Formats: sequence, structure tokens, C-alpha cells
Amino acid sequence: MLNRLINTRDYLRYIDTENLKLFTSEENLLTLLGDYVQPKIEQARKEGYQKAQKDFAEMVEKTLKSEINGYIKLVTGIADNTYNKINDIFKESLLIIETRAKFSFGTHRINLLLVVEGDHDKEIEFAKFLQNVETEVFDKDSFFCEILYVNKRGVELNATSVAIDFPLVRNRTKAETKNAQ
Amino acid sequence: MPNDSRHIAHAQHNIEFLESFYKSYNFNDWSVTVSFYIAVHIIEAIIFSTKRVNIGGESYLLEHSDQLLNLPEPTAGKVTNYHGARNLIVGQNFSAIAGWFKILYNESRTARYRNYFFENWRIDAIILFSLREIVKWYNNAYPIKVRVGF
Repeated sequence: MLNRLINTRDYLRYIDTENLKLFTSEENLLTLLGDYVQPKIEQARKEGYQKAQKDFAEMVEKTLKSEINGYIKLVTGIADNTYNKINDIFKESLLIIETRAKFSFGTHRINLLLVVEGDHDKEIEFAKFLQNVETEVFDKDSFFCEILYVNKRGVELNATSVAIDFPLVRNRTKAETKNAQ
Repeated sequence: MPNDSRHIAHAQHNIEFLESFYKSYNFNDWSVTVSFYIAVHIIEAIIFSTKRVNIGGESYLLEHSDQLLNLPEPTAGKVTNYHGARNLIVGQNFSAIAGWFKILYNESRTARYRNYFFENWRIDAIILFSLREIVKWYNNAYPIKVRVGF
């Protein structure tokens, strides 16, 4: 009885007090009002919840999409810029055979491995060049960047280990086609 | 965590180990890795000694490179491991030897995970150039000296 009373009194806010006073059986009117209002409230809650869920999912999708694409764009941009600069500086003396990447969406770390083939006496200069690229990326984009390399000339690489550590290979043909457009 | 003299003592310990076997050229992969860890202790000794590093234009009080991992983002630049933290500190603070340290780090990872055969001349180059340059640079600037026979 008490619960019913409290529940019906909750519907007071849906009716003008002046109108309520026109009738003697106030609780009866509030019960009728409740029977009419309550399903509408529940329906509104349901729709509101679904809409909020949809809006939230869309917002998350939009934010994630922007974040993921920004990160991929940054990694590929660094990979391509580094590739182009190395070609300009080292020319035939040191060729990049593969640009491999490991993506870490949680941390946004930038991890690249350049598989190169070239003169061993160019490696010191090459390592220093990569060190400068890493510093430049941090100074410009505030991202920690690690670019490792391995010179495959005259050595047998552990291809499995390379593929596990850096599973993605920059598709150079497609990258060049895209840049040319 | 060790202080600067403990780091240098450990670098010295590793140098003696390296000198005990590297000229046999039987364990070239381990020569690379030991060389890298000699450099790691030298760098950590410097960080402890100076107690201040610059990252992205900001100055921080640190005694060990792993303390960089506790700094708030984005200053720490998404660094998630000790080696990354140390590499960042070296790149941002010790430009004179950053390239040499990069070679040691790169080659030690190559030796452990990608190519297990290192030619003798490459070991000589790593020790006599990269490592020796770092030791020389350190000895010129800091009071606790590192002794090397190579």
C-alpha cells in the first residue's frame, strides 16, 4: 500500500496541482495517470538507451578510426620518408630490400626494421642517419621511434624471427603507385 | 638501484669478460652482446652522475633511465620498455655517442634474434670503433675511469 502510494505520488509532477484539486479521489486519478505515463516512460528509456548506445558506438568508432588511421599514416610516412632519404643519400651503395613494421595500437610505438643490402663500410654512417631520424621523429611528433636495420649481404638471416618480430612488409610497388598519383 | 661507481664496476667486469674471449673469435655473437651491455652500464653511470636529462625540451631529474617510464605522456613519448627509455635519453642528451650506441644496440639485437654469425672484422669494428668511442668519450668527461685493453 505504501509502495503504491509512493509510486502514484511520483506522477504528481505530470499534472497541475490545481487540476488535481478539482477531484476528490486524488490517488485514483494518479493511479490512472501512472498506468498511462509509466509505459511511455519505459518506452522512452528503452529508446533513449538504444540511441545513447548507438551514439556512443558511433563516437567510439569515429575516435578509434581517426586514432588508428593517424597512427598508421605516421608509421608509413616515416617508413616512406626514411626510404626516400636513404635512396638519395646512399644510392646504390646501400639498398633497402624490405621495410618491415610492427604495429602496437595500444602504445603507438613506431618499430621499423630495414632489411638492407650494401657496403659494410657504409653501415656506421647509416646507423647514425637512422639515429638522427629517430631523434627528429621524437622532436617533431613526440613519438618514440625505433628503426633497426640488418644488412643481409653475406649473411643468413633468421627469416622466421624477422617475420615474427616485424610481421608487416611495406608494399613498395603500391606505395610508389600511390605517391605517383 | 646501483649508483655510478657500481655501474662502472660492472662495466669493468664485463670488459674483462669480453677481453677474455673476443680475440678467439669463437663467440662473436656474444662479443656483440657483451659490448652492448658494457655501454649500457656506462650510460647508466652517466645518468646517475648527472641526475638530469632533457626530453623534448623539458628537463627531468632522473637517476636511472627506467624512471623515464614513470613520466606522464606525451612527454615520455610512448616509451614502454627500459631499452627504449635509455635509447631516447641517449638520443636526446648524448649526441656525441648516440650513433655509436645505436650501432651497439642494433647489432646486439641482430646477434640475438636475426643473424647468429658475425664475421671477425665486424666484431673488431664494433669493439674498436663503437665501444671504444663510447669509453673514450666517457673517460674524457667523468671522474671514475673505465680501463680497456683494446
